Amino acid sequence: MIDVQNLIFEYPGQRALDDVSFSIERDSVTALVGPNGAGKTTLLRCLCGLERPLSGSIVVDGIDVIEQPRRSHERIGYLSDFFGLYDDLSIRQCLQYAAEANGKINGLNKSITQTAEQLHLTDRMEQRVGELSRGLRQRVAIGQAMIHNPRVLILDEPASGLDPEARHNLAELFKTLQAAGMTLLVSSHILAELEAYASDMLVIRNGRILEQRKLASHAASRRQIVIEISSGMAHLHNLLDARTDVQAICTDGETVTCELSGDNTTQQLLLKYLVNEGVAVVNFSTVKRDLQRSYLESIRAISTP
Amino acid sequence: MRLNPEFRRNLWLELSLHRMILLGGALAGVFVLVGVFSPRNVVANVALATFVLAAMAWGSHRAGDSVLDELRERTWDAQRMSALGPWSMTWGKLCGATFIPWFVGVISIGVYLFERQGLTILERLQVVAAFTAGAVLVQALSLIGALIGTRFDKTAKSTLMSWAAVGTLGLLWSYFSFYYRSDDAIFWYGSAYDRFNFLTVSLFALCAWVTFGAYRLMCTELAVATRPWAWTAFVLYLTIYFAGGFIPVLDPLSRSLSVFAAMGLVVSIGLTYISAFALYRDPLAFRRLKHYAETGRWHRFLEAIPIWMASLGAAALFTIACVALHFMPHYSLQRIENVGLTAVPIWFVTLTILALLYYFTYGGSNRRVETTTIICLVLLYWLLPVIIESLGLVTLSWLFRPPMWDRPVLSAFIIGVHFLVAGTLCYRRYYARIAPTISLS
Repeated sequence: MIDVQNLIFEYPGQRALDDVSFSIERDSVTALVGPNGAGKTTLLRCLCGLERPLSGSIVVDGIDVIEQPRRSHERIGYLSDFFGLYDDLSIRQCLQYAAEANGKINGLNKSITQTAEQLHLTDRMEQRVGELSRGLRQRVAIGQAMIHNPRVLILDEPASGLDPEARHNLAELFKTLQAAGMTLLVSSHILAELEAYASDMLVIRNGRILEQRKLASHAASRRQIVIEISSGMAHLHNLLDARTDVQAICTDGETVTCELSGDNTTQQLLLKYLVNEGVAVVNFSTVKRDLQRSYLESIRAISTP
Repeated sequence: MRLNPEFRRNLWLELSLHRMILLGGALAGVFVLVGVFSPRNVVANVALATFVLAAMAWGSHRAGDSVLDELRERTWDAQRMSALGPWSMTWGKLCGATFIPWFVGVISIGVYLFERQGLTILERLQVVAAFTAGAVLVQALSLIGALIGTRFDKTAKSTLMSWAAVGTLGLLWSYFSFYYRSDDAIFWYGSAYDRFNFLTVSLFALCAWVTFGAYRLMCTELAVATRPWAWTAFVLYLTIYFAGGFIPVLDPLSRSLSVFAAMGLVVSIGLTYISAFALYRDPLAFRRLKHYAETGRWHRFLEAIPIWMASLGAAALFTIACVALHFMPHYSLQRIENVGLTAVPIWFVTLTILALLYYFTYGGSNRRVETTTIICLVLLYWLLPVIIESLGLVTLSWLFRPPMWDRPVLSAFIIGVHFLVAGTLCYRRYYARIAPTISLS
């Protein structure tokens, strides 16, 4: 759905995006993570055609964003880190303007009603946006970004400043949008908020993509295993190294952490195999591999020579 | 038919029944009060003054704010990403944001038409047409100022708007005072035209150009690719327009050509300065151009050209024309339009000033680049030569301010050296601060 190749973007004397390449699958929710100043916002703005990169290509839903930015806008909805709302307009007016400005002419009222229902704004349609709470403002902003049914929704720090309940509602909304066939790219440096809905993770640092991977919770075929033994670490290592379905083996004292490709049966067979081979297994368990952990591992892997 | 969404959004924000009633009532009160105590022509003048205040002053403020408000409320990105075309966005803002000022203006102009004595209805309509075109002109100029301001920081934005307002008011003041100064006919390309009609048509044409300029800037903001043909066309238009005033008859041809060349040089260099100083100078422009040229993407190259380059290119052509005409038979240096070889140092001066401007643009701070450049120019080309001259070292002062009219070749050489120095400084700073060490793959 999104294909970026060799993207270079520069500010005077500084390369903000350095040869960035990645692809994002249709109907996925990708978390774009990285520290402040990593290039997240610049990348998102380039994807939306709001900034013109020096070189490289960006294709969104088959449209070259650099060559045809106006055409690509029909396929993209963008929510910037500040919501960008007209405080003096009512919610209905905001949604109507966003729909019409994005070329939504047929079924305008139906779109407004549907969007308002999806965002639980139906009973507040005549309220001025300036009078709304931050959570509600954010919902209106998302409504503006998605009212023209874009194929891709790009959101920059959508949950910053929201209370836990609003964050939960946001996660539910993103899941609904994904289920409805929308591809989402969400940036944030608060990883916990992305956990609930992200299926993929894209790590950016110093303008470079460090890693792109499916998240364990969404990748049913991969799981993280922790094996604690009382002795025979070298033997265990040899056994694990010999297996093709085991990767990313890390040792910490008497504990080994690794990634297993496969389902519950594979996991059970691995345990049986280790016991049969005489490994003194004390503990054998799976670990929920959260986004924070994935991100830190990626950073650690890059930092390690 | 569907209303332009941007126009309607502005109406939502601007229009309310109680506001209209309040304004209408206040205007009626003022005009009735003045009418009771003064002759009808005074009422007409008050109405015209109200029009100037409402449609021109307030209207231009609102037109500028139609973009600046988007920046303040951080809605500009959403507008840039909308499917609205640049023309819809331009007229939606221009007409929508100024709806109330126009409401007041239309009432005022109606009162003027009704109350003005001593003029035929046609003459009154001519006045109304001129003032209406003037109002559209300042509003479009204000919109241009705001669109330019989107690329600068907030301080620069407000400064820019202030300068735009002052410049516009000055322009209009001189223009309208010119209307009433004389009843003489205007001679343009040898034909006599009624002064009032000629200037009104000129004002309408300028108004159309400025509105088109606002549209082109909106194209840039909305990521619609443009090439600098419109700016080049504007250079040619102004050249032809102003040259007409200096050509009483089209013969002899050599003189007409000299006027065209000289006027073209003045106009193109003037517009080069305006565009280079007023518009946003992308520090990466040359890097982009180099990259597009290296990769053979010439359509991108043309789109990335700063518009001052287009007028500078036109100035180069007019310089060549001036030099060529210098060697034509029957050429006389006594005539003002015969710029001749002096065109070369004039063109080099422009290059030098641009090199200095970019030298400061590539500096560590983007603030007050234009002011710094102007101060530097005043020091180099005015203060320093004046000090040296006051010491009796007139020939030495030529190193800074050479006699371009008397010794054009020597001047071209000296200013050429100036350009080499300024260009080298600019180039070195560019490589030190702008061009990254990593080469493009």
